[in-house]
Amino acid sequence: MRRTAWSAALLLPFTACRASYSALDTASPEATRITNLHWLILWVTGVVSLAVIAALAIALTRRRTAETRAGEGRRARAVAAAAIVSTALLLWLLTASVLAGRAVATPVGPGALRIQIVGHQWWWEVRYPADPPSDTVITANEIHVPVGRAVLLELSSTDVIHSFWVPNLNGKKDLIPGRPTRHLLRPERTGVFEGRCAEFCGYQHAHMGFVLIAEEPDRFATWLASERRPASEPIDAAARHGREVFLSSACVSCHAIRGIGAFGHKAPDLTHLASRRTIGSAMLPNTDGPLAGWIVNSQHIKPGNHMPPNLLPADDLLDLVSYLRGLR
Amino acid sequence: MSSRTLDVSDLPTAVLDSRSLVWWGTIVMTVIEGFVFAITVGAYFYLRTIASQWPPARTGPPALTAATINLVVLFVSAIPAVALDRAGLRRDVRMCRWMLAANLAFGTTFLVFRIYEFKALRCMWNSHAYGSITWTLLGLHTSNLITSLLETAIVLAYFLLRPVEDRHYLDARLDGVFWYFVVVTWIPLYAVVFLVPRLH
Amino acid sequence: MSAPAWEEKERAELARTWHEREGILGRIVSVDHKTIGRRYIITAFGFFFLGGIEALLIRLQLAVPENRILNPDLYNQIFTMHGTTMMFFFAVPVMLGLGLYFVPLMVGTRNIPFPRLNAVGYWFYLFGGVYLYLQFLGNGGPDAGWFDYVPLASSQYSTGHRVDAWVQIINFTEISALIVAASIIVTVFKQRAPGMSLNRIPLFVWAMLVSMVMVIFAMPAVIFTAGSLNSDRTIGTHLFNPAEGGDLLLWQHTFWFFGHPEVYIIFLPALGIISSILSAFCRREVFGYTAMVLALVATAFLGFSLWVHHMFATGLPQIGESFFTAASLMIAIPTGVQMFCWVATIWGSRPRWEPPLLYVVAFFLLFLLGGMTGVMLASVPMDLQVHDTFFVVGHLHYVLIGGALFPVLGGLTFWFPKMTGRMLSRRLGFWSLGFLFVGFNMTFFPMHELGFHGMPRRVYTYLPDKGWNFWNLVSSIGTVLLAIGVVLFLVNVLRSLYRGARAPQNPWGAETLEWATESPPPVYNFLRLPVVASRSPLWEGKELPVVTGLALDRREVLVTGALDGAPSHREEVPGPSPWPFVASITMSVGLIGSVFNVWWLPAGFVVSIPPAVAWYFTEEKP
Repeated sequence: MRRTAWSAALLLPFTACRASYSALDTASPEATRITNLHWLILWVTGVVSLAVIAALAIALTRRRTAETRAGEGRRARAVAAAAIVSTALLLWLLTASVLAGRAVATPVGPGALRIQIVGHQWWWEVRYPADPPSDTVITANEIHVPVGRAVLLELSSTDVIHSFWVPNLNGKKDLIPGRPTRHLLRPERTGVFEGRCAEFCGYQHAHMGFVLIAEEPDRFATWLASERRPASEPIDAAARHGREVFLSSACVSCHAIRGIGAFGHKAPDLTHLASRRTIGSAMLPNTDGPLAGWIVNSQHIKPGNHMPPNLLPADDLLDLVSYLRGLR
Repeated sequence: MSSRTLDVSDLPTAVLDSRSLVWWGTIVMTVIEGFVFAITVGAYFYLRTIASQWPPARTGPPALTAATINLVVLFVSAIPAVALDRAGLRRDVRMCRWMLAANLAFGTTFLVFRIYEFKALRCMWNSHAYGSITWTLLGLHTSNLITSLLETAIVLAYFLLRPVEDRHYLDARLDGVFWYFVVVTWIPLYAVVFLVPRLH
Repeated sequence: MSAPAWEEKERAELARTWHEREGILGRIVSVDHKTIGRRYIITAFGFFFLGGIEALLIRLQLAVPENRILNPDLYNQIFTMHGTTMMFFFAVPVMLGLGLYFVPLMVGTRNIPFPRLNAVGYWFYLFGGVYLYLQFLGNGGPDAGWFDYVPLASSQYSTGHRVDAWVQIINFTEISALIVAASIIVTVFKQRAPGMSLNRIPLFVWAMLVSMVMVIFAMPAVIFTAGSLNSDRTIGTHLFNPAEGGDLLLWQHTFWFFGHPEVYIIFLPALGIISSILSAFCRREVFGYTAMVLALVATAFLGFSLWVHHMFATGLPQIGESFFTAASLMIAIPTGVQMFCWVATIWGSRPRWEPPLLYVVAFFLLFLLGGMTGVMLASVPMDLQVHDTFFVVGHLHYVLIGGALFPVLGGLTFWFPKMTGRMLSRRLGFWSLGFLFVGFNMTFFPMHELGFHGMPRRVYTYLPDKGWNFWNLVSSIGTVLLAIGVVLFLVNVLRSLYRGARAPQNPWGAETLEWATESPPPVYNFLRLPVVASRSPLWEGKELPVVTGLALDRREVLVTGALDGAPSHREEVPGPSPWPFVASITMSVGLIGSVFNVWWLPAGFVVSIPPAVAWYFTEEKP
């Protein structure tokens, strides 16, 4: 811990920025273990590097001496010693790395929460499988997990290779079409963490983010139960009209809203859109203005994404937004 | 200028064996080609390891007739190849011409049966991954075969049309060496392409 | 002091026999290793500038968040072009060029053994690059990264011909590298000066030899990889299609089996350059010759056994991953041994304080840092945090620029007098190095921090609230300093070419054979080939014995035994010819045409037969 404090002090200027997304701002035992390993490697390799630089500096500035057999012997022994010490240090680091690797990848027991994440160009489908299957929660770009419980992510992709990464919690894992992978998260404190795609996947790889919210178990349970319900009924005439607009526009060909007969599966599920903090894969806040802008022309915000522009009349647009903002 | 000299004027100017630069170049080239084969065979076994059934049920293992005939053709073709090798070393123009022609004949026969070998695979390169990698292996070997035939044809043309010097005997020998390469690589490739699909 | 009559006569005969024609036609038919080596170097730096402009555009776009200078489509092309240009069209070819130029001189021969084939190698390299940039200028540049993972690079997700261009230039550049590799390997084994046994060849020659052997084994992998992507995209094979039994990770395995050795192919010659500079400037042999050679060989072997460290995030079994961590860590040892030996060389030698030495010092500093981050990346759990982030971008530039570019610039400064007969300006040398060093660190050091803070690589922009703004701006400003350093180096080269001080034969007092002839060397390299009796022929204290009896009216080289350097025989090597150029054109047209229609490939092959025949039939007549 003291070592970490010293290192942290040295790198204070670096951590002056917002610490939320940093691999050094750990929120799980895995991330902590990795960060500790990082400090170990940094110190060991740093000391060796400084020693080599110091030796180089001395070598460059020493005055010229004639070559002697004794001198040769001394130099040979020095080189050999340096090689042996470096090898020993590398073996130490190898051991530390293997042990850390095993620690962060311990298999989870049957009590783990299973979440299926399916990567799409350029958004994240999030599914909480349940028994019976009709209780499965489907949402997009926002993941809720309870604190203090292991979470097992089952990762796959429908198109190209993506990579799931929440720096505060653990390393990354690729989402490979046709080849499911698994990843482990064990958040130990509450918080809102940013995640992103970390494998180049086309035009909008830069904007394929998501939000991961670690919350107290009872809040998580409440959230999950609420997500399980079908879509909320519209509360006023404008929202009702908005629902009509949704059902009669191109929206239904891609988006699903459970309970009103919209079953599109090519785009994020919107059943509880209003309960999410962001839209556009963590690009924009989920408020009226950005939502309206996104619907009308998401190409302007996220060029190349698969959602076409929708030039709706102003009234229709406002009502639609009003309906969508009611889908908690 | 130094007064100490090393006189090399009595060294030979024509060597027809592995001391020659062109010989070394040919060996390097065969190593490269051989490694391309090795990587492709590696990919073959990689794909086989992850497959549930290899070859896929709807294709089945390749028929053996054409391939086995070709194997015989290949082994027999080693005879003129060795004779060409020796004739080049002896600087025997007539024998070289005959053996080059024989090499060309055997090579062409092999190429013809190669067409049937492709058919014996019972699938196309775009049927599935098994088809793709098998056609790739067979195709790579065939391209080496065609290159060898072309080389033989060009050297033979030279032997028939132009005055033959020492360097050309070396080329004739190297043509034989490359044919050895085609033969030797075919043995493991035959096993991989035609026998491995029969393993369970 | 005028030379004796026999010397003038020999010189005139050699000049006539080995004559290289002038003019455009002369350029096309040339087969001299120095001409072709120089071409590789100059062309490589041409591509370096193009790649540098791409880098400046990238950093300009990333200087501030939500920048709109480049849209994602163009950005994706530019970062792909940057990586592809730098890796395939600059880093490897510049090493090939230095090797082609200096290895024959250092081993004491007149030319490489396959001069016409070598010409083909250069034309393929040039044509490939021209094709790539023509397609890029037509908005068709590859845009799936310089290592195009499938399925993004498959025909389903990368429509059009962009990725096809990438696939084809692999063919062009890998054929070129293989040709140079064959030439250098055979030169080193068979054409050394009498008395130059294998344990007497300069360390630069060892480095080139080992690197070229790596080329022989690495390029076949990329031939398979790129060829398979090509056939998947054009004729419907399923090698990478999981739906029909193919596998996506097969791409990554076969690509990285080539890709990782590729960086050592680039790095090893740089290590050789450092040995050359240090032995000359310290005025003593590099310490621990045997250890240095074994270190090179060990690096090469280990370099082939670590490719999976690029794939730690794909979910491979842990046992396998640990092996690759071990290999990735162990490869630090041979390089470490080399560094220790160099320090031992410098110790007590009081080297001359000239720009080439400073480039060596810069290498030490930058490569040590790159090595530190490399050790971090070798560790699986750490790698899983920083993989595919700007941390890796920082690491790779530290090892490639620090580990390869700085030594190359130092080597060019060191060898400039030999190649051109002029000295580079010392002042401009210090200034350009200063700008390069400061600019480089300013650009790339913050990237480690950005990676830890979550910034992935290959993003065309970023949101302003992530905490990445400051360091991105610093990094982009650093590129300005870097660019100034590069421009200063170029200015130094251009000015010195015309107005630099005339260079004597051996301005640094170095010990290897390239310094035993004029600056620049005559086309036949040495009036009479030297005979050596040690590793440092020019420090043997007396004038070197020479070889007599080689024919002067033919292009004859002395062939020696592979291990001991004892004279074996004399062999004639081919002279200039237009047929390599013609055959290169026909094959290139076939390869490029096959992007648009697959039948161009066999057509190109068939049309290349007549020039190949003509080439063979005219071998005895230069």
